[in-house]
Amino acid sequence: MLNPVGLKTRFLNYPIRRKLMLIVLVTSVMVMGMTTVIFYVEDMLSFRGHEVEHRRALAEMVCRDTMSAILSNNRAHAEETLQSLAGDPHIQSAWVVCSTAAKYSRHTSGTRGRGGCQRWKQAAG
Amino acid sequence: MLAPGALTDTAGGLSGIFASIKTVVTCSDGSGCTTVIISDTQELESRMKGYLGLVLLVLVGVSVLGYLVTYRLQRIITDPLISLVNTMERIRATRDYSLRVGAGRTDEIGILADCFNQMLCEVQTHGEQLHLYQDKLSELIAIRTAELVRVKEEAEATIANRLDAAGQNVTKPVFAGREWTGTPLSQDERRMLYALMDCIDDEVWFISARPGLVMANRTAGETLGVSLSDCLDQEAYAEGFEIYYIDLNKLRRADLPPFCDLQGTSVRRMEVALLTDGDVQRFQLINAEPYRNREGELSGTVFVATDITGQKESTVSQRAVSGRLIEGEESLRKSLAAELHDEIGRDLAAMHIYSESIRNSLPAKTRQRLDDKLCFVHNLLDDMSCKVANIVSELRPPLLDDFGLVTALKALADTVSRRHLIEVDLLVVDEFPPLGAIELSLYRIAQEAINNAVKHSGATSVLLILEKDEKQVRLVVFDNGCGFDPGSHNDTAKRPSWGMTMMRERAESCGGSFSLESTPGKGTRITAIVRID
Repeated sequence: MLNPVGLKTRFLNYPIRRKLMLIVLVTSVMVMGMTTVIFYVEDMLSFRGHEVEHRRALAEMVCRDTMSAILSNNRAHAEETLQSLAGDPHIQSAWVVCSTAAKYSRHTSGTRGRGGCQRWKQAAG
Repeated sequence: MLAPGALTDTAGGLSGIFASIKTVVTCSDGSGCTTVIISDTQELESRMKGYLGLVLLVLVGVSVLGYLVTYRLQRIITDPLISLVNTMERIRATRDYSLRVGAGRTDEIGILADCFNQMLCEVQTHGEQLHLYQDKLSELIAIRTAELVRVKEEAEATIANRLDAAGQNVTKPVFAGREWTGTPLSQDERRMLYALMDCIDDEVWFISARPGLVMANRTAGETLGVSLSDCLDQEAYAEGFEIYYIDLNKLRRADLPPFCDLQGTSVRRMEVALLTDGDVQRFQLINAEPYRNREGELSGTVFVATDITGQKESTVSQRAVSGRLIEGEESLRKSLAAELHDEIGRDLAAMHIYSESIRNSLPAKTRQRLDDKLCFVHNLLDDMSCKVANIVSELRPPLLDDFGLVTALKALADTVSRRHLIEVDLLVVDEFPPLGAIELSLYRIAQEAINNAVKHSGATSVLLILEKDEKQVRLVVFDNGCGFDPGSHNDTAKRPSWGMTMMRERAESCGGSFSLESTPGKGTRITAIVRID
């Protein structure tokens, strides 16, 4: 068990040189650590926000492209549009759903994509 | 038109940051078309991992760099301090006050070093001066010692010459075949000593450090039950002196002088009580003075015993008279207080009532005209009643009879404090049961002491301490007044001190003692100790 009183006594009995070094070092490391943690969290949240914005813009483009295919009941064109998302390796799956809640067209890539799709299905009920 | 749908993550909290991103966009133009894209956060994870590694690396690097920089920079502060400490350690170990701490800085540490150097400089200077004085003193001592040795040798040579010239003109007292210890006396000195002893009426004893060897004058010899003719120094008697040499070893223990046991002790003065053969008690005042030989060894002690029986009897008689006087005074006070209370007080109360009655019976106009005068008479009567009550209280404090000494002293302290606007405190160290007649004596002593402090010393604070043990009660009265010289106070021709005398008489009449300590400008302390019978 750490005894705070014992630690304080030990610290007070240190030579002044060691005390001064410990004080400066502890202060510097604390300031540096706090700055790093703040920077790290801020960068993470900012990067994720950018990613979300990027995906939404992509979804809007796909939605516009597939709208005419849906209106003309051209499923092949819609799937072709969705297949164009294969260029982005981080997209796991994509769907186009019509107003009757029927899945009109879909795109899935890799195992991770299927897992992600499964999770989405469960969330959608 | 397109409307972005709600973006929801499949999990919340911190772990949700690294969960998949689900993007739902619904067209709002009536087609009901919805696009859903689910993407992973692998890029975010890899970026964060990269950052984490970099941050740890930077932290380690900064710590190492900080350590190196701190290690270098802290020396700016610590080096002079450590130098100061090392110098102090060296000075303590070597006592070399010529050492100095390196200076040259103007910050706090530099000032500290300068002050320390200055202190060292002063210590060194003083040490050198001390050594110088010591050397001078040693030289002076050596010179003086040489002079003393020379003078001593000259004196010894002179004495030796005189002794040689005088031949057998030096004698030593001899008793029972043994040599008297002490410095040899010349004939003249011996005669002078004998004459001195012979003309003193008191008992004079020279008791040798050797037990049992005694030289005594006639008065001393007569007190011992020995045949004086056997002890008479015939040589001295031939010269007209009556001096006796007595062997105390041949006496019974009961016949020895009472001060024989004081030989070699530090007692210089004492009183002893003796019981003579007729069972008559006698008192002696013994004064003792040891004398030493040239080598500083104790040769013997001179005792002078003075008979003080008469003085003692006179003191006892005087004390008895004082006691009776005090009793008479108290009795007089008591009767006077009773008379004042019963007669004057009653008459004053009656006058008060009658004057009120007269006032009420006057016609309205007359009453209005005489109202001021009647009021004056009323106030005068009230004032007189108060004064009579105060006098009665001082003559015989009713609280003392009814509630005891402590309550009466508290009331006295309060009254004096209120009347004279000074601080009077009473400190009672122990509980006080009724003490009988001595309470009145203690009260009067306290009353007189407080009155003296108020009237003569100009004190602003008086403290009474009352404490008691199994055998005695002690009353101490301090004041912070101007004080006085007790020596001049005792000189009654210059300044009569009836109050002090009465306090002393009161304490001694109760078998106690009274003492007074005072220094001009430093207040007065009066202590009365009374025995509890």
